[in-house]
Amino acid sequence: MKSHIYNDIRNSRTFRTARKIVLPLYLAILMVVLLFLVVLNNSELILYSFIAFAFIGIVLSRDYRNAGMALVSSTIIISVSSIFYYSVNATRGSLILQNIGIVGYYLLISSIIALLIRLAHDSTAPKLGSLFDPLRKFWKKSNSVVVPALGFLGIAILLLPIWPLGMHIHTSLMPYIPVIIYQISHTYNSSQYILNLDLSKYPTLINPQRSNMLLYIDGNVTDVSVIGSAPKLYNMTLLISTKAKISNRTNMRLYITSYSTGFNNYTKTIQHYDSAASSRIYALAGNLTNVGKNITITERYYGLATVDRVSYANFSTVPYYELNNVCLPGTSHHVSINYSAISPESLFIFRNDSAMADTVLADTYQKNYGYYVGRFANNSLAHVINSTSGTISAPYTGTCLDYAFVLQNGQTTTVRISSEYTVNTTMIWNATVPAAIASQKEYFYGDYGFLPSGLSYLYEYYMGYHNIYSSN
Amino acid sequence: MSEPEVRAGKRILRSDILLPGLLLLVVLVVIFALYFNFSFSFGKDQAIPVYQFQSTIDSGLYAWQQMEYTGMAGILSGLPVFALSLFNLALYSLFGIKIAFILDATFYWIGALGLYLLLNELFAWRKSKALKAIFFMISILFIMNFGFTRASLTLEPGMIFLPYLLLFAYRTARACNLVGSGVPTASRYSDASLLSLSLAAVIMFNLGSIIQTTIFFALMALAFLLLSGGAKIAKLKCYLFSLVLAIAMSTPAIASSYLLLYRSGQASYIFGQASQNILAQNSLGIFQSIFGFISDMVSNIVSLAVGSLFIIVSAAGTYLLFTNKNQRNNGLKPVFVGLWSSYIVLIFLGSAFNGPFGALFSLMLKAFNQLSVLRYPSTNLHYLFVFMIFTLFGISLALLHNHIYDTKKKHLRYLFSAFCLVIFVSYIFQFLYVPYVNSSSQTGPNSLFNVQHIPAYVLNISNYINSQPGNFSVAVLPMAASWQSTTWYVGVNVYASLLEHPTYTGAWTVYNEVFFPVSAYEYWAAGQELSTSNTTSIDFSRILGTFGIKYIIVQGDAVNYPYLGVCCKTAQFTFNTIYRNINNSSGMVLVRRFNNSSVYENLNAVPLVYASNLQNIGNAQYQSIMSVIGSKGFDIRNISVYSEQSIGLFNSTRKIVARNITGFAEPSMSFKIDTPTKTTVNIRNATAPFYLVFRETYDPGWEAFYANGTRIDSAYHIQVNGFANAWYVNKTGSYSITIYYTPQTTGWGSMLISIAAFAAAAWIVYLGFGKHRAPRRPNKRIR
Repeated sequence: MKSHIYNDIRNSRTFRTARKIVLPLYLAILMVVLLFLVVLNNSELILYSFIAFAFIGIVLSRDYRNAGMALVSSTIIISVSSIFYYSVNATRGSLILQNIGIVGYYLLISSIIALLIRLAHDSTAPKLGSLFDPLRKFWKKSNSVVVPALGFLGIAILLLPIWPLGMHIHTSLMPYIPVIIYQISHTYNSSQYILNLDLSKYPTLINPQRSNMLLYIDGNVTDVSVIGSAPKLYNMTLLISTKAKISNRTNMRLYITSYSTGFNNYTKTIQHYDSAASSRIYALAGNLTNVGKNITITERYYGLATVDRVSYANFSTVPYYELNNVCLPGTSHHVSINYSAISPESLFIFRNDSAMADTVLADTYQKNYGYYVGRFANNSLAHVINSTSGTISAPYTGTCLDYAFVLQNGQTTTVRISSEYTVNTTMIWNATVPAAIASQKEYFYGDYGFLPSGLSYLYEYYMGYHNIYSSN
Repeated sequence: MSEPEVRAGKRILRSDILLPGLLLLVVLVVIFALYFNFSFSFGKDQAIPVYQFQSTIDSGLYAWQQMEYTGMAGILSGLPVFALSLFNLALYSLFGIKIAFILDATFYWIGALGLYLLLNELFAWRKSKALKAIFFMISILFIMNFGFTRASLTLEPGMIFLPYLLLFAYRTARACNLVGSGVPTASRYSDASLLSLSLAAVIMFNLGSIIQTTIFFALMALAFLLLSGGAKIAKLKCYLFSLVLAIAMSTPAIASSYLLLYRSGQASYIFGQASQNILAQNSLGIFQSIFGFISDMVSNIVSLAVGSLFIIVSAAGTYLLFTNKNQRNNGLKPVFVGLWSSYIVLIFLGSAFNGPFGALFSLMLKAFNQLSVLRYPSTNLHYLFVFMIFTLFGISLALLHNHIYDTKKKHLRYLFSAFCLVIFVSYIFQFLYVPYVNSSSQTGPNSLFNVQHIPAYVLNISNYINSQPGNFSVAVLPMAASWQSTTWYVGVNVYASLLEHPTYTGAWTVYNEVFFPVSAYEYWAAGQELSTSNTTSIDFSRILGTFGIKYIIVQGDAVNYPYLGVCCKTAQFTFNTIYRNINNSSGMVLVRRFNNSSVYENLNAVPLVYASNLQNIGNAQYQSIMSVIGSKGFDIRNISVYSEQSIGLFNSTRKIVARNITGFAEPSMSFKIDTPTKTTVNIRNATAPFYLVFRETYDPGWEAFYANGTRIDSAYHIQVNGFANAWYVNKTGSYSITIYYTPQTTGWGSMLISIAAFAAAAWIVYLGFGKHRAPRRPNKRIR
């Protein structure tokens, strides 16, 4: 009975008509869907969508003509998108075109897969041809059930709310610096506030452009600008533009991200502002909260940096010292060397390279701790003698500061070096923040909706902005 | 061979090889002579002469490259590269032409001829003058593509043999079809031998892309094996035979590559470096690959449009091929599928070409770092694409031609001819129209289309330095080597090519500096400081002298590169600073002024081999070593600086703790450089121990032997001055020591294998040549 009804359906005029158009319709819908998925430039989605194109290749292998047309179409897509990519100035357009190009490549792959399968199938070697018997059967069946089903599936995918609306931030999870407001002076009916903050506790988190922070006021992201062209962390002045009334009960938070938040104009630096019309907020930066994992920071610092270095000196043989240096680019070098060890040792820093060279070159290899301490002390700029811990801070000229540890026995010394310098170049350094901040996945979530909202997401995604509006 | 066979063979040789070869040569000479105004042929400037003349001679034979700063391990390329080096030598001896361009031009010609032969072979069933004309046109365009691209063929010349690779793979596939047809085995294997020769040529001349080329070959072979008819086993045997023979011929390159990578344990470091570079490259520009441009240099619609034409025509030809019921072209189908498959795979691997499709590879790298062996920078493998596109395009044009002529419609024929003409003209036009070097990328008026002649004073400086006796190095200030610009020349520093001594140009290189010696980095650092800051505490003459730098050229015509600091971590220089720092160095003396450039002599340069005492400065880092050396008054000639910390990629386990020698007395010493890997030192009247310092980059491969063959224990082989080799010698009297780079022995052994394999391949080719060319005719005997 069941098969009888099934046959009736299959033989009906409607179904026969649908059968003829469903394959092209399916392919068209699949192309559109995959096009939109692909333009996300979410590389994982691109990878997954390749499976669909591989399947298209199998479908196309029915006929050389189909495969050939697909090949020609793919080259046209690649060519046109390449040409327009280079002529379109607008970033949005060119980025979209770049992502359309990938569809061309995928279609190229599909057509080659189709040709491969077809050629192998037509091979005169009987063994090779028989491998494709199941495929022949599939071809016979495909028009009846599978392809229409896939077509309907494609339409369903088109209509479901799968379009990403952008990234949103889990503000309750993300690390932030609480801003503790003491008082606000000169409260006017102005929407501008000046905020001075000392963020010197967080040198490794904030990038040199000072652009990876988001300011939230009472749970809402707020427009801020940095005042001054080279803001120091210990004296950062922010210009806040907000309609919200700020009081000392306002909840203000600085969230740290791993990329620029240019959408909020945070990188804009203001040289002049109307201080008379702006209220001044006196505040403190609190302790960083919600910090994730603790890892060693890769050194790429610009400004203030701290390096933890464990040194082990094997001094069972002469000489009794470990010679080292700190080298920094730029000018205005200031270095602070702190050490700690189990047994007492001595630390020396040298005025310049000549002083260091004179010291080491005059070595006569005496097995005597006191001898080295005395000789190094004579030539050093500053020293800590015979202590289990100590700190020396000094400015220095030149590129490198030489220092030496003199030990009585081999031991592990923990050395911590802080340095500050100014570089007057046009170099652009990429700042990295700890993985605790950088692993954004746990702090962001994607919101999805229907298709039409996708293009604005695409625009913002490629412009480097993230649509971090709402908080939960 | 019978008489008719010999005559047939000679006729084919004449018409199919010699005549087109001669015509292509004429075209090549005319193009380049007209375009470059004869300046290429007569020793004047050309785009990028990369290597010194001497190094092109040595590079094929010796495992150590003397000319790269203080030397570094090199890859042995084998006999063919050496043979080509002899070609360079012959040019110099006969005509005084000292540049590699003639060799490049020869390569272009070889490749173009190969493409012509390939296309003819693929359509051997249809003898048509129109087709020959089309193929000839394609070959001309092929020459132009190579000749007008910036990346010199000396970088990846092996690619020029790709047409031969495909040609002989195709012929092998056909020959191996003829199982049991009476054709002798030699003819089947002669094509396989030719295939192996081509593959070996590609490998040996193309060492940076062995794996990618192998992928290409594998895909070709797969296509032929699986997709064409005939006996698969016979074909498989042929391909395996050719593969084995090719690898045997390439033994020097493979062996030394392995030694270079794994001997020092730097494989993972290399992979790490390589993967970093991939992530930085992500640009869309499929047709840049056709024209061989670096991705940031082309943004021109005309070029892209012409390139689009190529690929769309290729697609149309594929469509025609597969939809035509005609069985004649069945042999082409696997060719097409193999070419397109290779094309897709290589675009995928080349993330520099096409993001985001190509950039997917960079995703995979994050998970599998070892995949970085497959990556390549954009300039290196564009030849593969060039070859594929031209082959596809050429075949497609021929198919279109056949299709149109078969329809017997005259107006279509005229249209087609006009179309071919348009392609030809537009292709040439886009070379004339597109400024090759985008003006925003480099300063100066230079582009390939404004070839500059080398000024006389540059040649005078080079001749002066080359005429000085002795073994020394030369440094150039401000640091150039492609990241600075002079007012007239852009590219690798021209002195690096004209001088016959190691030349320190001081560029900050990106990913491939893993193979560069420590002296390269140190020169960059020292040169930076010399050029940008007024330093009074460092004596540069001693630091430079440690590397054997005897002459310093201050290029008075250099200008600051506007993108410094962004790309190359190099600051802007001023000449005042340079001259002040040089004059403050007590050992630097102005020798001569040449126009606006100056040559200084460094009186503190150390010789290649010398005896010295030693100063152990403890567990010091590299900068500390240099600070000690650079301190005023430090006697670098008699004291070498030793740190217990090893610098560079080799660790220093099981070494003596070197110390200062009390009562040190320097013996008399003379040395002779026998080969780049062997130096003989004669020591006379040694009365005390000493350190024998050899001013090449420290490498455990360097060993010292006494005359009786006794090796100095490797525990006494240490690194001094942060880079150099030294041996603690505790022997008095008079004797000789030979310093030898031991991987060279492996090199000679592998060279023997290579020569034997090459001889075998040549012999099989000879055996099969006459028989394979002409069909066998039955012997007509009158009984």
